[in-house]
Amino acid sequence: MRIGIRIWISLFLVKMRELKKQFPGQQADEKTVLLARVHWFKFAGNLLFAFVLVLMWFVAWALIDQYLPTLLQGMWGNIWILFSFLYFLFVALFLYIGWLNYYLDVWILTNDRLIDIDQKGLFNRSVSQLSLGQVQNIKAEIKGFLPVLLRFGNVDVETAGAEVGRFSFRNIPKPFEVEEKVLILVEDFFKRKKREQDQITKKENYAS
Amino acid sequence: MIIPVIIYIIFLIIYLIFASFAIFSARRFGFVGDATKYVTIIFILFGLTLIIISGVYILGANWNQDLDLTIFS
Repeated sequence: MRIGIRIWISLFLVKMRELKKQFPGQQADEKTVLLARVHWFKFAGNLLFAFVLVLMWFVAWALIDQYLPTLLQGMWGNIWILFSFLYFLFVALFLYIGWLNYYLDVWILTNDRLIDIDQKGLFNRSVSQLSLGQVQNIKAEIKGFLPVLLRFGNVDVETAGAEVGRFSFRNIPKPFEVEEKVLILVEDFFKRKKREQDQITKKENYAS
Repeated sequence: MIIPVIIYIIFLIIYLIFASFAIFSARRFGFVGDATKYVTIIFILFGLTLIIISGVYILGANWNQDLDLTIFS
Protein backbone atom coordinates (compact mmCIF):
# COMPACT_ATOMS: atom_id res chain seq x y z
CA MET A 1 0.00 0.00 0.00
CA ARG A 2 2.76 2.41 1.07
CA ILE A 3 4.89 1.53 -1.94
CA GLY A 4 1.88 2.12 -4.17
CA ILE A 5 1.33 5.58 -2.71
CA ARG A 6 5.04 6.39 -3.09
CA ILE A 7 5.02 5.30 -6.73
CA TRP A 8 1.86 7.32 -7.37
CA ILE A 9 3.40 10.44 -5.74
CA SER A 10 6.67 10.10 -7.69
CA LEU A 11 4.74 9.61 -10.96
CA PHE A 12 2.65 12.69 -10.13
CA LEU A 13 5.80 14.74 -9.43
CA VAL A 14 7.42 13.60 -12.69
CA LYS A 15 4.24 14.55 -14.56
CA MET A 16 4.21 17.98 -12.87
CA ARG A 17 7.86 18.52 -13.78
CA GLU A 18 7.12 17.62 -17.39
CA LEU A 19 4.14 19.98 -17.45
CA LYS A 20 6.27 22.79 -16.04
CA LYS A 21 8.62 22.41 -18.96
CA GLN A 22 5.85 22.97 -21.50
CA PHE A 23 4.89 26.35 -22.84
CA PRO A 24 2.45 27.60 -25.50
CA GLY A 25 3.89 27.42 -29.00
CA GLN A 26 6.42 24.73 -28.12
CA GLN A 27 7.39 22.58 -31.09
CA ALA A 28 7.26 18.79 -30.99
CA ASP A 29 11.03 18.23 -31.03
CA GLU A 30 11.82 21.24 -28.87
CA LYS A 31 13.12 20.65 -25.35
CA THR A 32 12.99 23.23 -22.58
CA VAL A 33 16.43 23.47 -21.04
CA LEU A 34 15.90 26.38 -18.70
CA LEU A 35 12.90 28.30 -17.46
CA ALA A 36 14.07 31.35 -15.54
CA ARG A 37 12.18 34.06 -13.73
CA VAL A 38 13.23 37.32 -12.13
CA HIS A 39 14.95 36.66 -8.81
CA TRP A 40 12.51 36.32 -5.89
CA PHE A 41 14.15 39.36 -4.31
CA LYS A 42 12.28 41.56 -6.80
CA PHE A 43 8.98 40.18 -5.51
CA ALA A 44 10.11 40.54 -1.91
CA GLY A 45 9.52 44.31 -2.24
CA ASN A 46 5.81 43.70 -2.90
CA LEU A 47 5.66 41.21 -0.06
CA LEU A 48 7.29 43.66 2.33
CA PHE A 49 4.94 46.45 1.28
CA ALA A 50 1.90 44.21 1.81
CA PHE A 51 3.27 43.24 5.22
CA VAL A 52 3.69 46.94 6.12
CA LEU A 53 0.10 47.62 5.00
CA VAL A 54 -1.21 44.82 7.24
CA LEU A 55 0.98 46.05 10.09
CA MET A 56 -0.38 49.58 9.60
CA TRP A 57 -3.91 48.29 10.11
CA PHE A 58 -2.94 46.67 13.40
CA VAL A 59 -1.11 49.81 14.54
CA ALA A 60 -4.11 51.98 13.60
CA TRP A 61 -6.43 49.60 15.45
CA ALA A 62 -4.22 49.65 18.57
CA LEU A 63 -3.95 53.45 18.50
CA ILE A 64 -7.70 53.94 18.04
CA ASP A 65 -8.38 51.43 20.80
CA GLN A 66 -6.02 53.34 23.07
CA TYR A 67 -6.92 56.97 22.34
CA LEU A 68 -10.34 56.95 20.66
CA PRO A 69 -12.16 53.78 21.79
CA THR A 70 -15.59 55.21 20.90
CA LEU A 71 -14.53 54.91 17.24
CA LEU A 72 -14.69 51.15 17.59
CA GLN A 73 -18.21 51.13 18.99
CA GLY A 74 -21.70 51.66 17.63
CA MET A 75 -22.05 53.00 14.12
CA TRP A 76 -18.36 54.01 13.87
CA GLY A 77 -17.45 50.46 14.87
CA ASN A 78 -19.58 49.07 12.03
CA ILE A 79 -17.88 51.41 9.54
CA TRP A 80 -14.44 50.46 10.89
CA ILE A 81 -15.16 46.76 10.43
CA LEU A 82 -16.47 47.25 6.88
CA PHE A 83 -13.45 49.42 6.02
CA SER A 84 -11.16 46.69 7.41
CA PHE A 85 -12.73 44.04 5.18
CA LEU A 86 -12.22 46.25 2.14
CA TYR A 87 -8.69 47.10 3.22
CA PHE A 88 -7.65 43.44 3.45
CA LEU A 89 -9.34 42.63 0.15
CA PHE A 90 -7.35 45.35 -1.61
CA VAL A 91 -4.09 44.32 0.10
CA ALA A 92 -4.65 40.76 -1.19
CA LEU A 93 -5.40 42.12 -4.67
CA PHE A 94 -2.22 44.21 -4.63
CA LEU A 95 -0.19 41.17 -3.61
CA TYR A 96 -1.83 38.97 -6.23
CA ILE A 97 -1.24 41.43 -9.09
CA GLY A 98 2.37 41.91 -7.91
CA TRP A 99 2.87 38.15 -7.86
CA LEU A 100 1.39 37.78 -11.36
CA ASN A 101 3.74 40.47 -12.70
CA TYR A 102 6.65 38.62 -11.13
CA TYR A 103 5.62 35.10 -12.05
CA LEU A 104 4.45 35.64 -15.62
CA ASP A 105 7.74 37.31 -16.57
CA VAL A 106 9.63 34.31 -17.93
CA TRP A 107 12.75 33.54 -19.95
CA ILE A 108 12.75 30.19 -21.66
CA LEU A 109 15.81 28.59 -23.11
CA THR A 110 15.19 25.64 -25.41
CA ASN A 111 17.52 23.64 -27.62
CA ASP A 112 16.38 25.80 -30.58
CA ARG A 113 15.69 29.30 -29.33
CA LEU A 114 15.54 31.87 -26.58
CA ILE A 115 12.14 33.23 -25.58
CA ASP A 116 11.66 36.35 -23.51
CA ILE A 117 8.12 36.79 -22.15
CA ASP A 118 7.78 40.23 -20.67
CA GLN A 119 4.74 40.90 -18.49
CA LYS A 120 4.10 44.54 -17.61
CA GLY A 121 0.87 44.96 -15.69
CA LEU A 122 -2.15 42.78 -16.34
CA PHE A 123 -2.74 43.46 -20.03
CA ASN A 124 0.68 44.30 -21.38
CA ARG A 125 2.64 41.29 -22.51
CA SER A 126 5.35 41.00 -25.12
CA VAL A 127 7.03 37.84 -26.37
CA SER A 128 10.40 38.02 -28.14
CA GLN A 129 12.10 35.03 -29.70
CA LEU A 130 15.60 34.48 -30.89
CA SER A 131 17.03 31.52 -32.75
CA LEU A 132 20.22 30.17 -31.18
CA GLY A 133 21.83 30.43 -34.62
CA GLN A 134 21.67 34.22 -34.37
CA VAL A 135 23.59 34.44 -31.09
CA GLN A 136 26.94 36.18 -31.50
CA ASN A 137 28.04 37.21 -28.06
CA ILE A 138 26.87 36.66 -24.48
CA LYS A 139 27.63 38.81 -21.50
CA ALA A 140 26.68 38.02 -17.91
CA GLU A 141 27.12 40.46 -15.07
CA ILE A 142 26.39 40.80 -11.38
CA LYS A 143 26.49 44.36 -10.15
CA GLY A 144 25.92 45.67 -6.64
CA PHE A 145 25.98 44.41 -3.09
CA LEU A 146 22.61 42.63 -2.96
CA PRO A 147 22.99 40.96 -6.38
CA VAL A 148 26.40 39.61 -5.30
CA LEU A 149 24.94 38.42 -1.99
CA LEU A 150 21.89 36.77 -3.54
CA ARG A 151 23.55 35.76 -6.80
CA PHE A 152 21.36 37.43 -9.39
CA GLY A 153 22.24 39.64 -12.34
CA ASN A 154 21.80 40.33 -16.04
CA VAL A 155 22.55 38.29 -19.12
CA ASP A 156 22.86 40.18 -22.41
CA VAL A 157 22.74 38.18 -25.61
CA GLU A 158 24.01 40.08 -28.64
CA THR A 159 22.62 38.97 -31.95
CA ALA A 160 23.45 39.07 -35.62
CA GLY A 161 20.14 40.65 -36.62
CA ALA A 162 20.21 44.44 -36.62
CA GLU A 163 16.53 44.64 -35.72
CA VAL A 164 16.68 42.51 -32.61
CA GLY A 165 20.00 43.96 -31.41
CA ARG A 166 20.38 42.88 -27.84
CA PHE A 167 18.36 40.30 -25.93
CA SER A 168 18.47 41.08 -22.24
CA PHE A 169 17.56 38.92 -19.29
CA ARG A 170 17.28 41.19 -16.27
CA ASN A 171 17.74 40.17 -12.64
CA ILE A 172 17.82 36.43 -13.18
CA PRO A 173 19.30 34.04 -10.64
CA LYS A 174 22.75 32.56 -11.36
CA PRO A 175 23.52 34.57 -14.54
CA PHE A 176 26.94 32.93 -15.11
CA GLU A 177 25.38 29.46 -15.15
CA VAL A 178 22.77 30.72 -17.62
CA GLU A 179 25.51 32.20 -19.81
CA GLU A 180 27.33 28.86 -19.80
CA LYS A 181 24.16 26.95 -20.66
CA VAL A 182 23.40 29.29 -23.56
CA LEU A 183 26.94 28.87 -24.91
CA ILE A 184 26.72 25.07 -24.73
CA LEU A 185 23.33 25.11 -26.45
CA VAL A 186 24.57 27.43 -29.21
CA GLU A 187 27.46 25.02 -29.88
CA ASP A 188 25.06 22.05 -29.89
CA PHE A 189 22.73 23.95 -32.20
CA PHE A 190 25.46 24.53 -34.80
CA LYS A 191 26.69 20.93 -34.51
CA ARG A 192 23.14 19.66 -35.04
CA LYS A 193 22.61 21.93 -38.04
CA LYS A 194 25.91 20.79 -39.54
CA ARG A 195 24.95 17.15 -39.03
CA GLU A 196 21.59 17.74 -40.68
CA GLN A 197 23.27 19.53 -43.58
CA ASP A 198 25.77 16.67 -44.00
CA GLN A 199 22.92 14.16 -44.07
CA ILE A 200 21.09 16.17 -46.75
CA THR A 201 24.28 16.41 -48.84
CA LYS A 202 24.86 12.66 -48.45
CA LYS A 203 21.31 11.91 -49.58
CA GLU A 204 21.66 14.25 -52.58
CA ASN A 205 24.96 12.62 -53.56
CA TYR A 206 23.44 9.17 -53.16
CA ALA A 207 20.45 10.15 -55.30
CA SER A 208 22.62 11.54 -58.07
CA MET B 1 -27.96 55.09 8.04
CA ILE B 2 -27.30 52.77 5.15
CA ILE B 3 -24.76 55.03 3.36
CA PRO B 4 -21.64 53.13 4.66
CA VAL B 5 -23.06 49.91 3.22
CA ILE B 6 -23.63 51.59 -0.16
CA ILE B 7 -20.05 52.95 -0.15
CA TYR B 8 -18.81 49.48 0.82
CA ILE B 9 -20.70 47.89 -2.08
CA ILE B 10 -19.32 50.47 -4.55
CA PHE B 11 -15.74 49.71 -3.44
CA LEU B 12 -16.50 45.99 -3.48
CA ILE B 13 -17.63 46.27 -7.12
CA ILE B 14 -14.38 48.12 -7.97
CA TYR B 15 -12.46 45.34 -6.20
CA LEU B 16 -14.36 42.63 -8.06
CA ILE B 17 -13.66 44.29 -11.43
CA PHE B 18 -9.91 44.45 -10.76
CA ALA B 19 -9.86 40.95 -9.28
CA SER B 20 -11.62 39.49 -12.31
CA PHE B 21 -9.15 41.30 -14.61
CA ALA B 22 -6.27 39.77 -12.65
CA ILE B 23 -7.78 36.27 -12.68
CA PHE B 24 -8.48 36.57 -16.40
CA SER B 25 -4.88 37.61 -17.01
CA ALA B 26 -3.58 34.71 -14.88
CA ARG B 27 -5.72 32.18 -16.76
CA ARG B 28 -4.75 33.55 -20.15
CA PHE B 29 -1.01 33.87 -19.57
CA GLY B 30 -0.24 31.18 -16.99
CA PHE B 31 1.43 28.03 -18.26
CA VAL B 32 -0.05 24.56 -17.93
CA GLY B 33 0.78 23.05 -14.56
CA ASP B 34 2.52 26.08 -13.07
CA ALA B 35 1.82 27.74 -9.74
CA THR B 36 -0.54 30.38 -11.21
CA LYS B 37 -3.50 28.02 -10.81
CA TYR B 38 -2.91 27.36 -7.12
CA VAL B 39 -2.15 30.96 -6.20
CA THR B 40 -5.30 32.04 -8.06
CA ILE B 41 -7.39 29.50 -6.13
CA ILE B 42 -5.94 30.78 -2.82
CA PHE B 43 -6.65 34.38 -3.87
CA ILE B 44 -10.26 33.54 -4.82
CA LEU B 45 -10.86 31.59 -1.60
CA PHE B 46 -9.43 34.41 0.53
CA GLY B 47 -11.56 37.01 -1.28
CA LEU B 48 -14.72 34.90 -1.07
CA THR B 49 -14.20 34.25 2.64
CA LEU B 50 -13.85 37.95 3.42
CA ILE B 51 -16.80 38.90 1.21
CA ILE B 52 -19.05 36.26 2.80
CA ILE B 53 -18.03 37.25 6.34
CA SER B 54 -18.59 40.93 5.56
CA GLY B 55 -21.98 40.08 4.02
CA VAL B 56 -23.03 38.19 7.14
CA TYR B 57 -21.78 41.10 9.26
CA ILE B 58 -23.75 43.65 7.21
CA LEU B 59 -26.92 41.60 7.57
CA GLY B 60 -26.42 41.12 11.31
CA ALA B 61 -25.30 44.61 12.33
CA ASN B 62 -27.59 47.41 13.43
CA TRP B 63 -27.41 50.17 10.82
CA ASN B 64 -30.22 52.30 12.27
CA GLN B 65 -27.92 54.46 14.33
CA ASP B 66 -26.72 58.02 13.84
CA LEU B 67 -23.05 58.83 13.51
CA ASP B 68 -21.78 60.44 16.68
CA LEU B 69 -19.63 63.28 15.34
CA THR B 70 -18.91 64.68 18.81
CA ILE B 71 -16.17 62.11 19.40
CA PHE B 72 -13.72 64.21 17.33
CA SER B 73 -14.35 67.40 19.29
